[in-house]
Parts: sequence; C-alpha cells; structure tokens
Amino acid sequence: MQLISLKSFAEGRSDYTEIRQHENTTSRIALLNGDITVNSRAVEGGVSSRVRRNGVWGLAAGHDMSKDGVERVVSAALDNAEKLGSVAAVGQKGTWPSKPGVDSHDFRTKKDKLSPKEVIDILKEADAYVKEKCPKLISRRVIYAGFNHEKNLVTSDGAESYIFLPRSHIYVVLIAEREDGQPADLFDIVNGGRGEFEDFFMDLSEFKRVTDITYENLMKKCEGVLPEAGTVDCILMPDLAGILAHEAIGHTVEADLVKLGSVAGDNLNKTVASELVTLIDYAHTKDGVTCDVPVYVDDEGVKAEDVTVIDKGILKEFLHNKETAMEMGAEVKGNARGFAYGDEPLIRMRNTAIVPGNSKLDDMIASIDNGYIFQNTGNGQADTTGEFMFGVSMGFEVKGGKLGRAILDTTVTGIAFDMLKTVTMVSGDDAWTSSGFCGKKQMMSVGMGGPAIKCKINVGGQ
Amino acid sequence: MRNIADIAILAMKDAGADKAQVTITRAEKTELNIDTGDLKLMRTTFSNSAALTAIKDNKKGTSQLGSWDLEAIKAAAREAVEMAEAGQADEAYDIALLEDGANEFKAGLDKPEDCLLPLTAAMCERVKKDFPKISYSYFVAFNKTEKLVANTNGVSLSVTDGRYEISSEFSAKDGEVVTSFNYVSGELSTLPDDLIEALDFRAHLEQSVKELGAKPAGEKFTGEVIFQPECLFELLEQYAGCFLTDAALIGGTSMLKDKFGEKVTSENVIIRAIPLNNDICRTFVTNDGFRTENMDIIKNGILENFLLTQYGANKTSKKRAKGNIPNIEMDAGDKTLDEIISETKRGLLIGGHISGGSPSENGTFSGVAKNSFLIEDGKITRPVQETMISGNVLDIFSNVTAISKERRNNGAAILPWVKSGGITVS
Repeated sequence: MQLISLKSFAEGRSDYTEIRQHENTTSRIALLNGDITVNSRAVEGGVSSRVRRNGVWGLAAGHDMSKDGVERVVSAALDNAEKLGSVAAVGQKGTWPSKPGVDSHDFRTKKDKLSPKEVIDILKEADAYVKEKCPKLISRRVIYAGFNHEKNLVTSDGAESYIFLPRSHIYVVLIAEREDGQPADLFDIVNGGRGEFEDFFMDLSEFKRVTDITYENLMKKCEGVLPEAGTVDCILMPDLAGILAHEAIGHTVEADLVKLGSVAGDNLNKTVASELVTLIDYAHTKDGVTCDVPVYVDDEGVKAEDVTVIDKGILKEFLHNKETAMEMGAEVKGNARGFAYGDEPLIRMRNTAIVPGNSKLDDMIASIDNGYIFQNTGNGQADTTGEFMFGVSMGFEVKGGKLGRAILDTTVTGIAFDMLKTVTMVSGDDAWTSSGFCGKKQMMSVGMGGPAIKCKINVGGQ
Repeated sequence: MRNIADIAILAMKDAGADKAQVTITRAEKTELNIDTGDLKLMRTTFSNSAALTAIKDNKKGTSQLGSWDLEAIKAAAREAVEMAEAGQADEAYDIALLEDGANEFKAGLDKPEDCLLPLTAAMCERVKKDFPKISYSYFVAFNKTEKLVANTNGVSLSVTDGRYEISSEFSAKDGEVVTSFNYVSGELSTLPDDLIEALDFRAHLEQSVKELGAKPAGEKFTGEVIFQPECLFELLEQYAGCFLTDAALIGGTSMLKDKFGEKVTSENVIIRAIPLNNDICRTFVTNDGFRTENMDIIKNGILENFLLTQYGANKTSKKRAKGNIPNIEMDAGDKTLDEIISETKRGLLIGGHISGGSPSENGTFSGVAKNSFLIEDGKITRPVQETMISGNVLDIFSNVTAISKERRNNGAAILPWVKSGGITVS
C-alpha cells in the first residue's frame, strides 16, 4: 500500500474526525485430495473517514487512495453527518474521550519472499505427507490461509498510527470411514499465527507433528462411543477454554451488546465465576511476549491497554469504544476496530483468555472419577444471555482418573456465568490460536486461548 | 468497464494464459445504521474491483484487486498467470462457455429512494413506541452494483442492479430477564410504506417479547419440531454443504453422491433454485460466469440436481448447477401454521436458529434451539431456553410430516414452516 500522509487532513477540524487508509490482502490455496481447488490472492483497500457531529456519525469510503480521494471521503463523511443530523441529531451527552496513541509496527516477514510456485510446492509436499502417513482416509484437505491487514490512521484528536499485521495458518482436514460406513472427520490447525508463510512453513515439522496427532485421534474417533448425556465433571482443553472466553464471556461484556441487553450488564462488580477465574483481553503483549493479534492503537486512535474483564471471579470491566465509554463513564482501552476500509470501528476483542492457574493437567485428569476431557472444537456460539453451545470434535472419557475411549462428535452447553462458578482447577500452562475470524456485523481477526480448566458442564449425547 | 475487461484479458494472454476470464465490478452503497434504537450513522461507499482468472497448461490462478488502475490491472494479470504456472494441471479447470441468450441484465432502482432516511427515522420512533422492551441494532443499505463478466470464449455478460439490504439483531429485556438474540436479514427491490413491516420485522419483534421468561424444555423426549423459515434456510444450507456442493461430491463424502434421480426426502418436499423469480431480488449470472436459470433441486422427494460449480461438475462428471443458494424456494403445503401446531402432540417451534448446530460430514448435528417455544397437546405453551435438539439433516427432510401454506420471502429465498418428526429434544 502506498502510504498517504494523512495528518494534514485531520488537523484543525472542529468535528471529531477519523481518517483511515486500510488494505486487506487474503491468500488462499486449497488442496482437496491432492487437487488444487483454490489458488487465489485478493487485495481490497481504500480510504475512509468518519465524522461525528451533533451526536451522530457520517462515514464515507472509496477505493481512490490519492490525496484527492482522501479529500472527497472527508467531505462526504461530513455531508452524511449533516444529513443524518437533520433528522436524528442527539447532541453530545458527555465529555468525548480522548487518549490518542502514536505508534508504528511492521510485522511483515524479514525473510526472502517465496514465489507462488515455491509456496505451492511446499503445500504439495504437505499433502503428500498426509497421503502417505494417513492411509485409511477417504478424503483429505490441506488449506493455506493467509491474511494481512495494513492500516494508516489519523484522528483529529492527535492519534497517528501505522500497522502491517500478517497472519498465516494451514488447516488439515482428515475424513475416514467408520465401520458402519458413516464418515468421521477431524481437523486441526497448524498454528502459524502472527507472521507470513515464510515465517512458519519453510519447515514442515510442525505440520507433520499436528497431522500425526490428528490422524491418530481420528482413528480412535472412528472407534469412539457416544458420551452419556448429562451434567458431568470435565476438562476443557485450551481450544474450548479459548472459545468459551471469547464467545460466552467476551461478547457479553462488549458494551454495545451490554446496551442491547446482555446478561453482563446487571453483573458489574458481582461474582460471576470461581475465584480461580481471571479473564483478560490483552491489547498486544502478554508476559512480555507479543500477542498474535496485537493492537497498539485502535481505529478510534486510542492507545490500547489490557482490559481485566474478570478478576478472581468478579466482573470488573466492559470493553468500550469512545461512545459507550462516554455514555457509561468508563475508560477507553483500545477495543474499537473496523475490518475493511469502509467499515466503522466496532467494539471488538483482541486477545482474550482465562489466566493460567497452578494445577497440572495430570492432576486434573486424576481428580475425575467419571467424566470427559474435551480437546477440539469445530464450532461454537453464544448469545447475550450467556447461553453457549460448542461442538466437540475430539474428546475422551475419563474413568477412575485415567483417559478412556474416544468419543464421537458431541456438544457441550451451559450458561457461562453459572458454569464458571463450577471451575475447581486451572492448569498452569496455556495455548493460543488466532486462526478464525470473529463475526459481528463485520469479520475481525482475534486471538483466543487459555489454560485447561476443570468444571461441570452439560454434555449432549445418548 | 468494457475497456478495463479487454485490457485485463489481453494482459493475461500476453503473459501466456490459454484462457482468461475477468469480472469487473463497480459498487456504491448508501447505508443507515440504528444503534441500540437510535439512528446513529450514515455511510456512503464507492468501490471498484476486478477479479482475474488465468488458465495456462490446465493450471489455474486467480488474482483480485480493489482498483481499476491500469498498471495495477496489468500487474494482477501477470500475477494470475504466475499463480497458474505455479499450480497443478487439472483438466477440470475451465472458464464460462459462450451460450446463446441475453447479454445485458438490469434490475432494481438506480439510486436509493428519497424516502429512505425519513422512513428509517419513522421506524425508529415506531419501535420505541410499540416495543419498549426491545433492544436492537439495524441497518438498511441501498447497494448499486454494475458488473461485467468477460472471457476469451467471447462471453460478455453485464448486470446493473440496485437493491436494498436489511439486517437486524434484537432481543427483549424485562428487568434482569433477557431473551436470546434473534435476527432478521434480507433484500428488497423497493421500500414499503412502513419499514417495520419489511421482512416481517414487526412479527419477529413480537415473537422476541413472547420469549421472555423462557425455561428449559424439561425431560428429554423424541418429538416433532416445526422449523420457522429462517431456521429452515440454515438447515437447507447445511444440507447443501454436506451433500450437494463441490467439496462433498469431489471429496466423495456426500451421502447422496450416488442418489441422483432417486428418492432422498419425503415426497411432499419440492425445493428449487429460483435465481430469476420475479418475487425475489434476482441473480442473473453465476459466480463462475454463466447465465442463471431456475431449476428443480428436489422434486417430490427425488434428487433432480446437485449444486455444483463448473469445476465441480467437470470433476465429478455431473451436471453444473444453473442456480444456487441463497436463491431457493420450497413449495407451500396444504395446512396453515396454526393447523400444523394444533396437530402436534409434543414438540418445539424453532423460531430462530440452531446455535452451534453445524453438522458433521454425515449430516449429524446437535445444537441449542434458539428463540423457540414448547408445543404441548396442540398448543404453544411457553418459550424455552437451554434446550438442545439433535438429529441428522438427511433424516429431517426424510421425515417431513407437514408444510405450511404460509411462506416467508426474504428477498433471496421463499420458504414455509416445515414440521419433521423423530427429533430428540433434551
């Protein structure tokens, strides 16, 4: 992206104004049983401006990334604010928050870029490994997904930021046939995370390790049993603990959803979880290490900070943009982001997880007489009542403190704030993923993860 | 646009492409956003884009860009060919074939109606007055699109289209009691006199208020479930994904891969693709560059067509689909929804969606029934929450016991309420 100097367009404006030059690049290569079914690269970029006048917003965006293009969108955004204000002006209801950040981060690879042929050759090698090492499959998929976003932002209250943030993952999907002729499937993610293809996949050892484990688990799953339905002791491994933190808790504390009636709205400063549970939305750095989805300055120009959502079981903070922070008398901490250049910033999580505790996974398993350990999830949803449902694509029985048979696909459900009160053990280590997109009107890159947690949960089954 | 397309095709040929196809698009959006009941944002966006596909030595590459800058177009053309060269030969790759028929299509308005802003403002006030327990976000957008698909086979299809898009999420709250979110989304050719009536928004809000005080359904039982059109659409998407589309058929995992021309659902099920139906916002060109046509998917329970792209059809030696989801309809039945409910001994009416219910490859799913109501002895008795249903999407459409006379049209699909039996509710 050819960067434009945006500062002069924002200076001296009487209305609060954001100007964002923003480009997303998506790369996708998919192999289905060895055939390349997708081989594409897409670039979408442009400039947008959002202007606030009389309590309403005007936004305009265009693909023209020239100085003229910037002038046009700033002018059109102001026109839109005027037009909307003519029927819906509400005025300013408080002091408009301002915590302008100035920052620049460029995470593009430092390695020599591979040619398209070199990338595809590596993926073919990966596919060949799956074919050779996983002989009992009826179908296999190897999918590379790369996504880069590049943003250049200024605001009229003095923020200036630039970021180039890439992420890369390979998905491996294995499908085998059970004895009854029904297909059984399992997928896993070779978690590249923050970086480009060259940063992670020049060496396929991690891909091979993940594939070996996935195939071994799929073979066990083919002989798996349906779990017993009911409320049981279980261990949620980081895959599920992460989606729990994001879907079942994180969304309920987004202040725009609190305004829409989320269950969290009536629980601020109340006990919503076991005191073993602390949940943080990390801005960019955790324990001195850069997160997968670092946000240093958000798309409202706010200098980003961590948000401690739950502190030792007490609900402490919501996630805000400037408008909800003003309305609720809270502090902005950098949670407003827009996905594409024409999108307005919405309240979004960044890197959300339960903080690790002190337990060892072996001790957690040994403490369960009759229950399950749930390892992988393929999907999950929750709503603002806190009711959640996650698909479990891989798990095992735990009997007498030891791992038992694999289980077939099942689901776990519950009410987040009820379930979190049943947490009795939290492991000392954690794992993260950043492969998915969170969908909330717009898509968004997010990181999620956490430790293993022991709790009681409702299991679907026979 | 014609000039851009010609330059892109020529650049791909110059770079060595045997076949080349481009889609050139110009899009304009005018959008109004309601945030928690207040009209808060007006947006206009303008975007130009181009998607270039090159095939060389039976290898394929695609490059897309958000610009019509000629140098950028030429660079994307070289990139598409380079990506093709890096790929793997597959004789199933192709571009759209030249066929007889119209080449220009136009539908909808050229620009948003002047009433867009006052109607939206009026709807805001109406919801505040009539539904004080409802919290909601909402947007209505007018999308103007001009698109040209052209290729080295001589295909040149242009589409000019203007349509409204509406989407809302909402819940009801009374004290500390809150309902699950429900959703409305769809398309309109023109605006109605009262926006709250568009896409049955008012009916959805009324239903949301009725959901207050939901409790678990109670004991596990096997019963009948009535799927509201919005939920039925999700099930049809899942059915297609598991059994009728490229990945499932090329991968060989579809349970219906050998069932063409055979009975796959109850006999009362008639589902067809309706891209050219005048009652919806029409789709004239497929994603792979062919003219669309209406076609039967399932007729009286018999599988008449898969939903394959050109590549999928070539790969599996089956027919290419001329229409696809989301433009589908299911034929109405012979009973009213009230009659269907009155004939239900014990079951559920699922008014929203099945949360987390994405099925595995064989169609088995389980998920939480959202925005749902318990039916006992022919009457809706109460709203339910924390209630899971499990089954298989193949079985759902094989056990259809009733289809409503009433149907909902969301501008893309026209679907009835459907009752199916043998579903586990727990």
